[in-house]
Amino acid sequence: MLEIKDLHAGIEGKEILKGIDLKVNAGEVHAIMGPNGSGKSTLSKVIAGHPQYAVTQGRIDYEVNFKKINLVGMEPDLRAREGVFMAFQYPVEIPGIPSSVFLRAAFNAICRHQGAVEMDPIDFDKYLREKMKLLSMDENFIDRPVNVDFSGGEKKRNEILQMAVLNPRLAVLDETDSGLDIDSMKIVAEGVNKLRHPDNAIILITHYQRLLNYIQPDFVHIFYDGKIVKSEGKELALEVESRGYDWLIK
Amino acid sequence: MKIEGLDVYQSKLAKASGDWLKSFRQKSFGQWATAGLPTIKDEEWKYTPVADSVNRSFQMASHHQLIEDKQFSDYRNKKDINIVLVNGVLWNDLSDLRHLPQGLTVSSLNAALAHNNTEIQDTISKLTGNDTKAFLWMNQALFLDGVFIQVAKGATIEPLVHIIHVTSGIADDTVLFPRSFMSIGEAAKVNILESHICFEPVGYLSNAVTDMKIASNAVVGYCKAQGESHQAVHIGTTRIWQEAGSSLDTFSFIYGGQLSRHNLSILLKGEGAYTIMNGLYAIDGSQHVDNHTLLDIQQPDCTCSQLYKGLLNGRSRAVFNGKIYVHPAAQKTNAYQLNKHLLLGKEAQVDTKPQLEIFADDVKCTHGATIGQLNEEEIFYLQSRCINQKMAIELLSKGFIDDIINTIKTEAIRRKLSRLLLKRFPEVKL
Repeated sequence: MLEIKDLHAGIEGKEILKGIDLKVNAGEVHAIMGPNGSGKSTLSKVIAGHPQYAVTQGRIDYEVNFKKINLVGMEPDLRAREGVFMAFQYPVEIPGIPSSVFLRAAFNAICRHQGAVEMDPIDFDKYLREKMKLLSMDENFIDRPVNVDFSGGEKKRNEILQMAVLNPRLAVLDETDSGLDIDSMKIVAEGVNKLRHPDNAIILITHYQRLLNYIQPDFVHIFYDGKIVKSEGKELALEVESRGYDWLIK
Repeated sequence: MKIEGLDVYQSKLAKASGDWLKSFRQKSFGQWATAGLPTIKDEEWKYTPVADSVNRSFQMASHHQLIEDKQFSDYRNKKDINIVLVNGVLWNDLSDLRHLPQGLTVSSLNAALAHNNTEIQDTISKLTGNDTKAFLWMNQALFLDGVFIQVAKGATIEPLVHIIHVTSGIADDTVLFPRSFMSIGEAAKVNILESHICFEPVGYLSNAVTDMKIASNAVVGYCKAQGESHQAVHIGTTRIWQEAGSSLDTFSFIYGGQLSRHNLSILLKGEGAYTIMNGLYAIDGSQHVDNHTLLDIQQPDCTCSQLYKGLLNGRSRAVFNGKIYVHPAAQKTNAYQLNKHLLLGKEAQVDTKPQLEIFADDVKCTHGATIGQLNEEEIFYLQSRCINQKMAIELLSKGFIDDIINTIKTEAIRRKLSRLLLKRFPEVKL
């Protein structure tokens, strides 16, 4: 589904990713770990198409419905409509736009892109409430402006709700567990687990092993200085938890 | 600025006016002739070069009939009490005057003055001129007619009263003097929308004056919507007199005109009056909007809150000057002022100035102003959720103005303004 080849990227002329190769198949969950500043978040932003990050070399091939496209250079909204989703580490507050309006605009943009019929407000309301139950979200969420005055936990839950509503093929979750207490993390993890499907893939970026107790990855990759220094199964996360990163870097 | 055939026009006006009006016109004409129009050397007009914009020869409107237009019929709502003035003259057959609710009186301003309505005379002479006084005097000397609205003591008027000043069928370089006077009786309740509109691409000067007297304990909603042609100059003077315990919710909405100035002054003449003074200007191209407001708080225990927002596209320009004057007697005043801008156009420009003059010691007054652009992270966030850049910008702009539109308590006004604004957001289909 996703094949990243020799990816170099940076911000304001400073190279952060220094040759990433990563292959993700449908149905798989990949965890990316690594110390601060190793390039984990940069990878998620580059996949989503953040305008401040420039790709200087390499490709991001993404295969959906038997067609292969290179994401590099594509507008972020077009990537999203093709089924690429990023859950933000720091979700942005959007004053003045009620969550329901925002989500329906997003959902209908996908419908239009796929040539499907758009959903009217009443049907969408039902659909949205179903997904909200999945993440135990409060009823009044619908009318509140997107992320405005949300607690840290609510913002992260909202990201996963958006993932549930938009039903992406490839989801990159950028430190979705950071800043969450254990109860919120369980709710978020359960939400993600319910969205796991043989047709979609998830990349989990995390600092801590504890999220991986709740969402079991198929592969764990360790980032260091813009490169992947080790890739193994889920037991690698436990090893990192007990030994730290030093033994991998030397 | 010159006006063709002024002598002939003035002698016609004099013949049609009663004694009071005749001398009122004469006095105003003298004041205008002496003062002349303000220039940018005048502190209150520093950023608005009005004299340059009207530095040509104008003619008076000779024709006062509406050229039928679908946009006009769409603009009015059957549920409202529509009062239509074409080029400053009240048109009975275009207005809903036959079945007015009890307690509401509507007539032409000339008719009301002819009946020696001393309340109008008294109020007009007490309302002080403000920074637009040269234009105010010009209007007083030359206004042809206008509308008089009276709400009786204790009456509650349920439907929205919509005064529509429509400019129609005139040639370029015409000058118009819309005028209205509203008297709201003690403990009466009414919501009034006053629109200035034109659907023809013509250049003219509209010099409008609205005076309103609100008696004690009345509850009033008042909105002025300025949607003149984009070639027009609109100078509006709105003067409101508020008595004890009255409550006033004003909204100034500006989207039309090439150059416009709105001077809104509210005199709080009684204890415990409550005033909301909100506004929105949504402009584009080379439009220039100047809002000068005055809250003149003369009595104790008044509460005032002001929020003006500007959405600026293209190379449009906005000027805001918000004066709050707290007199020595006005103890326990609670006043709040905020002026916020979103600049979408790279060449858009804002000059904003709060001006608080406080002469009482036991008051609470705050003010602030912001000028910002759209945040790249916000746009990226929306794009990452499938929304294209154009629509993302529209959604964020709409979000910026929706919260001020939502402060309007009168639903009929809120809906009309939202509909007018939707045209600015073609991508947003909600």
